[in-house]
Amino acid sequence: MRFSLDWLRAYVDLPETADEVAELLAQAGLPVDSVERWGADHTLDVDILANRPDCMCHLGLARELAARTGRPLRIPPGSPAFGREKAEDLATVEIADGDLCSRYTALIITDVTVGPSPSWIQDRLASIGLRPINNLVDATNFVLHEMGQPLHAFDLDRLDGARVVARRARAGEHLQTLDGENHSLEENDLVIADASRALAIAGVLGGAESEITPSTTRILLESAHFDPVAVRRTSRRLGVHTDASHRFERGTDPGITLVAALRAAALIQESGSGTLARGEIDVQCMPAERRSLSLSPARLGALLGMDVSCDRMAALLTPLGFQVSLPEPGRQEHLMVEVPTWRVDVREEVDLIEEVARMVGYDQIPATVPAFHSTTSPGSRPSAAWDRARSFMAAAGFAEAIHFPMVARGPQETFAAIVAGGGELVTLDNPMNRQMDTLRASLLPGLLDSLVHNRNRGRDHAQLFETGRIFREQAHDSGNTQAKDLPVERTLLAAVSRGPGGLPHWRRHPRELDFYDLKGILEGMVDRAMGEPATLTRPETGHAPGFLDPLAAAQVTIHGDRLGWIGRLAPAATAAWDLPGDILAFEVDLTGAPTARPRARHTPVPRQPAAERDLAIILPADVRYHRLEALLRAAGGDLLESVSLFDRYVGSPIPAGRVSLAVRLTFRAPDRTLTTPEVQNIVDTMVSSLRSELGGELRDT
Amino acid sequence: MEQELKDLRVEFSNALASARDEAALEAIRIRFLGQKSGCLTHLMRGLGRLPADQRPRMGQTVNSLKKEMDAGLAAALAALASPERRGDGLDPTLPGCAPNLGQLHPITLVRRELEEIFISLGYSIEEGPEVETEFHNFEALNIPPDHPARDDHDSFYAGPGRVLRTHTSPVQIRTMQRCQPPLKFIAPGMVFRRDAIDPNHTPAFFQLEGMAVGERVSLADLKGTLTVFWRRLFGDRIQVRFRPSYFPFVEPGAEVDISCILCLGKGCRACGGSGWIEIMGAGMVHPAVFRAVGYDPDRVSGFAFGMGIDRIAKLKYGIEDLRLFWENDLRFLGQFRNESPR
Repeated sequence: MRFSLDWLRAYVDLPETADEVAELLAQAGLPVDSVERWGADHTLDVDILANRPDCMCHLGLARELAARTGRPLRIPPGSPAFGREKAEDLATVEIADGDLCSRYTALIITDVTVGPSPSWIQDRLASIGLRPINNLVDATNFVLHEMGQPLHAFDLDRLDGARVVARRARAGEHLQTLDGENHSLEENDLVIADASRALAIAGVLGGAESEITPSTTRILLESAHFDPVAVRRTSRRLGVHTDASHRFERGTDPGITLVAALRAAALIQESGSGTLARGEIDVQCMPAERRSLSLSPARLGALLGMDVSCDRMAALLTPLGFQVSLPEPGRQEHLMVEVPTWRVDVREEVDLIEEVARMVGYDQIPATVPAFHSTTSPGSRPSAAWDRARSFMAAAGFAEAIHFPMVARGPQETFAAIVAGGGELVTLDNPMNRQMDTLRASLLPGLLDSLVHNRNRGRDHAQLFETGRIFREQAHDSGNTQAKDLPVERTLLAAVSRGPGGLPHWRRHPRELDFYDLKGILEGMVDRAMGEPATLTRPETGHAPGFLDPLAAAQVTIHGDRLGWIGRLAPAATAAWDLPGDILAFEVDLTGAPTARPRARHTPVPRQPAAERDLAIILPADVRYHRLEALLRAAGGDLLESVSLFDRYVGSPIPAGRVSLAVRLTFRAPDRTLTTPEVQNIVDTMVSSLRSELGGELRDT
Repeated sequence: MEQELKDLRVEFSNALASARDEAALEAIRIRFLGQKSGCLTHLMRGLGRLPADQRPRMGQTVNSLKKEMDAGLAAALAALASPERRGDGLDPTLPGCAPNLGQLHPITLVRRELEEIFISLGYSIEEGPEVETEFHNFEALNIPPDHPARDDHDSFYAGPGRVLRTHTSPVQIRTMQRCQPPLKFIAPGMVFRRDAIDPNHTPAFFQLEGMAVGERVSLADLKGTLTVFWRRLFGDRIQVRFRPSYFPFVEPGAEVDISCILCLGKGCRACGGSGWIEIMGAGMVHPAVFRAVGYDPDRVSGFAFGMGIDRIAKLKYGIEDLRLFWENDLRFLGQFRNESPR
């Protein structure tokens, strides 16, 4: 909000420079966004937060500055000359809906000549960026920016029945406002009406039909207090935001309506015309009373961490308009403070404590650190497992990406297969655009977007991962029309790989990552996050999710529970992205991951030597490796320490339909050196069950 | 003779270590293993003169040394063929062969750094849903419907009464509902406001909320805690300044400035010449918030604060455009590969 420094100086002495005034305001909690030169004057752009409508005018801001500098505040004069006619003979005012309008003050001014206002008023308005219009409009604008009270001038001769009613709009009522728009009104909109029709949307905007015109001679000047919530609702519903609505919806001073109206009348008279009818019309449904609050020095000391004496508190609060009664010595333990009507933000004791702290200066408050022990296990972090997984992925060559969870619906319907039994996708009521109208149920489409982004910038090959939330509605029985529960949120980790992991290098030409590379990374990551290994299985025919190529898809499980999927993305699923070639991906649900890092336990390092045997085995090609390993381990028992596959070969001279596998077996006994015949015995057992159970044989060497 | 063998072994390995080319290796071979005058050949010939009971053992020892020498010479010869050993063949300026590493996102790096500081101060980390009830996001935080403060929280709605959380503050409510004071925790996470995308706005961004509630938690405690925090993050020369401000869920409320991390308060382009950077909001928990979660504001007090993780990352790394965080351009992400994940 724009303020003129010279205008402020009309109410308080400010020998300070503009920058110094800006600093004073900042310390008061009224930060200045910019200071600009305006002729010989300066303008300050002050950021006034919603709780301080009283500072949305020059007098209010001057009051803060007067209090901070300890100088007196000069209240502007507002004593117009009265004529002989009585206001009540010229017009009547009624408040029909007192819940929305607590006070309505009206002055009647006759013999008005519409013309320019005095140049000093025009200059003041121009300095804060307002265009002078005529003496009537300028006077109301001036008072708005001086005292913060929005005023409205009606052409009295255009009011049916010379009557003003503050009432709720009638069903179907319409009003053409000053901006030329035609608004249809609703029952909870407060309007100012005459005997027959709505004239203005109360607190928001005046109507065209009762507008001041160059030929206007008699006016009714409105100065009222409207309910903040009602003004806000109407203003938002109609999409009309005005200087008046901005103040009314934050709360104006119900005590100032008459003072402001008289000030405006005096200003109009300064332009050389206007007779003010005697006896203002002032209808009050709720008297503007001063709230009275108690303020305990002990409470203040505890909350601020600093003690302030009662006398000091009184000295700090009084210049702001608070009336402070000190406790009688030895009697009460608290002050009684009457709150001025313009301080709509001061409602309870803590608000007074803030006022004291603000006036003392936050920089005067000491700095300490609380030492108590939290009941929420200190040091615990739900995201610990996901951070372990992230670090693993980064070490494995993947770059971490982040994406907006608001996404296009189409791809989500293709990719969302992770959460078993998940409900509907979650949609937004008011998305930014149609490409962001759904909350993601899979992280993969976002990662594909980023692959395209990088490809378009010359990075054709990339390995990316993301950890983030996905959203699905609770799986409800159909027909549930009750208020929705919150969606189910899960934390997933997804990764995509396209092309080699790294650039060509003179010593090493990185090959394209394949399924087994990605599998190894997935296994390492899951082990790191979950503290136990994942199992990969081929889905039964027809059960692979649509986004994966069924020839290269596997389900990831732990203890039989599906964690997610890994595989090659189906070309049909990625057709919308311009990404030729294979894309490998996985996506797993880490929601249940334990937050505590799995503890390592030491076991003694073996002291006995190992015996190693390499076996070259030929198996039917449809026998899965895990069956071979299980067979070897069963036969090897406790003495078989490890099985490691170090070669796999298909092709001549191996007969078609068979595969050659070379495994290294490591045997070890904890208490003795194994003898050659002992090991040979085990190997013989292995070979014979290999023949009988898997149809395998040893390869001739 | 045993001692002789030991000496010979040492002599051989010294000679081998100093050999720089094939000719030198050949000379070593002749010196130790040559048919006519090799030292070891000489010793082997002398075996016959030993007493019969010593002969087999010494024979074995000499034989194994001969094998060791043969293998040593062969290995040295092979090593000479490799570029590193070819003397003039080594070019230390050729590109090295590094493992292919990825990197964490700068938001993750900064989040972890902030978390570590608060964990060291005895805080826990708490979480809450990203789709929230309006009660948790607004009402319980003293922002009733039709409150003007909602203007600053242009929200995405996802069905009646459900909103994408506009700040991490609802985690305050959930944690206070679940636990009893005293409490000290932080809540980092993604939040959402319906802002058009530009260099300073994205519809999703990251906040870190903090709260401490206890019997006599004061504004002084808030000042001390945040001063410690910012100095841990940006160094001991950082000054922290509190200005009165307004957030509906705190009273007294404060805007917190830190001295500019680039000019340390002298004034530069980054801080607009003021020497200060507006960095976060904070304050004492409003009694209405305590009442909303069933705490008695006459018995407990507390402070709360909230900061933008994106904003700190921008500051820390000198990033001028928030959109970079969401584009996942590898040329951008790669710039953070040396930031150590903790």
